[in-house]
Amino acid sequence: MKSVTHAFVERRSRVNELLDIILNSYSQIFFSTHRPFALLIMLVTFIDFYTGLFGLISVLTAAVAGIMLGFNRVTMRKGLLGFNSLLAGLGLGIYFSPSVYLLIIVILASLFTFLISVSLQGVIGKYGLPFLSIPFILGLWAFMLATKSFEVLGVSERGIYTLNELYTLGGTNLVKAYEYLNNLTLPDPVRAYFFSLSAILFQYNLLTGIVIAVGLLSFSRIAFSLSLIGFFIAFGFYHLIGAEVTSYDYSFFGFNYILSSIALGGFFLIPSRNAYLWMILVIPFVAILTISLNAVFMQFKIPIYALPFNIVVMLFLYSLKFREKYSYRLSEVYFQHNSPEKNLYIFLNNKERFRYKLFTPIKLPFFGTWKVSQAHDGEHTHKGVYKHAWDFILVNQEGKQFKNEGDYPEEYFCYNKPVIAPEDGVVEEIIDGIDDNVIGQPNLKDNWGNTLIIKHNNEVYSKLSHLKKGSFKVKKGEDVKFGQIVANCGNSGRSPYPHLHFQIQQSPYIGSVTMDYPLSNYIVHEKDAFQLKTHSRPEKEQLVSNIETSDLLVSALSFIPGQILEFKTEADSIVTWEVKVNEYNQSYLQCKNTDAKAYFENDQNLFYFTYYEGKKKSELFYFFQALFKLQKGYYQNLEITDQYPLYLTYPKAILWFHDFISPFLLLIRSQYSVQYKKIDDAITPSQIQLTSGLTNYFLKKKINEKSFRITIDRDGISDINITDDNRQIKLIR
Amino acid sequence: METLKKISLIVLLGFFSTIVYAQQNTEKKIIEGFQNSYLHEASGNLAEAILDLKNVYQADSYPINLRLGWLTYSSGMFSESQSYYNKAVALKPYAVEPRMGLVLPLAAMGNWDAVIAQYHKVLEIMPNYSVALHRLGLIYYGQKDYEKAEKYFEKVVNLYPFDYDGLVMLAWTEFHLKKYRQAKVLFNTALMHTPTGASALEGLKLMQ
Repeated sequence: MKSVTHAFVERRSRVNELLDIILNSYSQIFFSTHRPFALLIMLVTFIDFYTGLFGLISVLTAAVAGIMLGFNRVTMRKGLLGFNSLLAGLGLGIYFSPSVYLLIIVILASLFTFLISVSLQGVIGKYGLPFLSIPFILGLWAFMLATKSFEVLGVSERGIYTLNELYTLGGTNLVKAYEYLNNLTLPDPVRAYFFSLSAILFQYNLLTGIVIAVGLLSFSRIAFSLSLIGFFIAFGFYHLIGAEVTSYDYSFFGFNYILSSIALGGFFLIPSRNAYLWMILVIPFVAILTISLNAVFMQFKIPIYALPFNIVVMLFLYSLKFREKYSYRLSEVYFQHNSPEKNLYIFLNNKERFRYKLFTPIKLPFFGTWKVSQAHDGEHTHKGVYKHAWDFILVNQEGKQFKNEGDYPEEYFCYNKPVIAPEDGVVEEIIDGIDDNVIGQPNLKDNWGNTLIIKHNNEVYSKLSHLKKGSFKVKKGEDVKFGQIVANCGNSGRSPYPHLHFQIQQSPYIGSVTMDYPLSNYIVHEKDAFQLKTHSRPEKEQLVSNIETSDLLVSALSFIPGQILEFKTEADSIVTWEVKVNEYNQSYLQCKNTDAKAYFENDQNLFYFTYYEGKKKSELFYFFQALFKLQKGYYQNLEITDQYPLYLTYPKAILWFHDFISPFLLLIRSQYSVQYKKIDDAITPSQIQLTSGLTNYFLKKKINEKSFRITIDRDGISDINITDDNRQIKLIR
Repeated sequence: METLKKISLIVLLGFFSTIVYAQQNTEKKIIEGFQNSYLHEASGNLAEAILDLKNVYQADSYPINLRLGWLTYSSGMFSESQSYYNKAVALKPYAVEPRMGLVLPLAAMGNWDAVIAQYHKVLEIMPNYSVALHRLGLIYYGQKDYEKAEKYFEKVVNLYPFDYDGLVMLAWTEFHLKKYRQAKVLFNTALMHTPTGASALEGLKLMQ
């Protein structure tokens, strides 16, 4: 029985895969994987039944070839290897009369185009460039030129006796509807825009254009607005230079501007003011290239199709690769989500949340809570090229750093206290043998005193100075781990009283200049409150400590691959999530019922979700929202805030309209916050309660909110209470 | 009293019969006028032909205005022709006949906008009238507005798929629109109709 179910599941997933390959090949024409849009495009290709049919046969041919030859399934599923074959099939299908011979030609052309796609992916892909629709152009040119000598192929009559075809299909009413559309009094440029959209599918049909425009709008507001901007800029440009282009010609060039505009303004670049600006500057190149290429190719009666779009987009994207400085203002899309909106919102969210992701997570170099006696740009010694350093001391509850009179180093609380490695690394340099100073008499000769330099990577070194002579617990060249005791605090070198000097530098030398480098996370202790600081710089007078993790939280948030989490809902149904790791080494929870995935990161101190994909009705989505970001120490009333990616949590209707202006202006916010509410015993806790919430804002106005109460016990997360728009939902372990 | 009644009846009868007679007489004259004008037209004497009808002219007569429109047009009196045709149009506004006449003097005077407007009116009344469709197509073709020309020729060809003129004109239009596939099919079909059709042969040669 089990094997039967397994076989069924496998068959279903294969059907799904094939469906994805086919449908995404349609929507990929517009860089999309939006299923309704794919269906609409597919539908309009069937306005001419045989053209639609040959298009579908082409996609199927490419899909079967790809599966049989074993090409990358992810690339195939995204439709990336299929859309060029589809276009070739449509081009041939509309040109020739349907026949068995045409069927053979279409299958061959589809295969040929598919092979060009794969090869170009290898050749151009090496340079990080997309092959766009070059394969289809090459494939169709090759076949169209060759077919001139194929006598068995009759040129298709379709598109000539349209009214008769429509009459056959739907009688007078359909003919009337067609004529009504054709006689619609639309301004010429608007008609040309719709015709251009239809020309992408080799049609010259207002209805097709309108349907595609509607599909484009439903897929992406950014792509839709870009299509209009690009089209009309080129239109304006032609008028400006007085080019002799009929509106009919224009319709057949128009999609070059539409596709270029979407590609540069919103797809291969993150939609932004700068991306739009560059798109506007680049569109005239496409316009000029269209005229010049057309002048050459028309000599040979070869249509240029989307050649200008391909050339200009590749040219621009390739040029960007040579930038010496990365800029957030004009950023390429490094992980393609096939939606300008998703690309934008994920980019903005990542910029806010993970801009320091590639930074080495340097932490504080001591146990317990120390005080910053001198911070960056300090008034004593942290000046000039040495300004990015900290001095730490230990103080008692009255704020004093020593007992008695403080005349001897031993009277200082920090003296001889362990100093730890602030992050994993290798001991690069040790200076030892310098005596502690008498209080108030710094040793100006050996400025740094006893010093330890740890190499964390080729460009990040940490330096700990004024250490106690002979206290080193490590040797030069030795590997160290974060938290490992390396030496003790002392009073050597230019140190009037015991303290720990800590700086980050880019090179391994004792005298290297300091580098402005944030600490990955630490807790600021205020009078009655705590603050979690991430990627920040401790400030003067602050009392700071590393996060002291709570075993209860650490164990509840330790998700090990293969682990199963089960929760009972109020309806007594069971939701099951499995911890998994994908080929990119990303950990995620996968809901067995809905297939939804919630990706997370889990380090020593923090647990946070990065991304969610799948149905939002899944309980996993609540889990994702509730535990969006947590630190693993318990600090009473500590509050952490963060931002959700807008496309996941913001109300769809408002977001839909906001999408139009999102590349320039964000008026909306989806905020996460969590409070550490209750612990039953500070020393040996058995239960911790957290409350978290999601609040959506339009400007400063609250739009809606959700709240979550999470209870954690020794066996992990015991329950989550969810309040979503007055609806109460409960997940119980 | 009885006598008075009888007299009144006789007078009334007499009055009506006089009217009927007069009317019969006028119609007879008008028909004769038409008869003469046809004879004069056939013999090439257009001035006499016009006069024949002017002699029996009635402003509210559709036939007279229509025929005078034609005769004056034929003798080069375009303004007059236009005015007669306009009267005919006004008398029978739903009729396409006077409008198809009216376009003649309008075209002769080069008033193309008015010609186009008349054809549109004709097509509004009779959407599938192939003559109007074809002529509108020709006007737009002459103005090099191939996109518009295509719309009308396409309809002609859909209504008369094997008519040489329609096929050739649509073929040339498609040729200018760079729709070579369609042009090729259309020229070839035109050659099936007239295998020696010079225009179709020339078109195909250009596309080789």
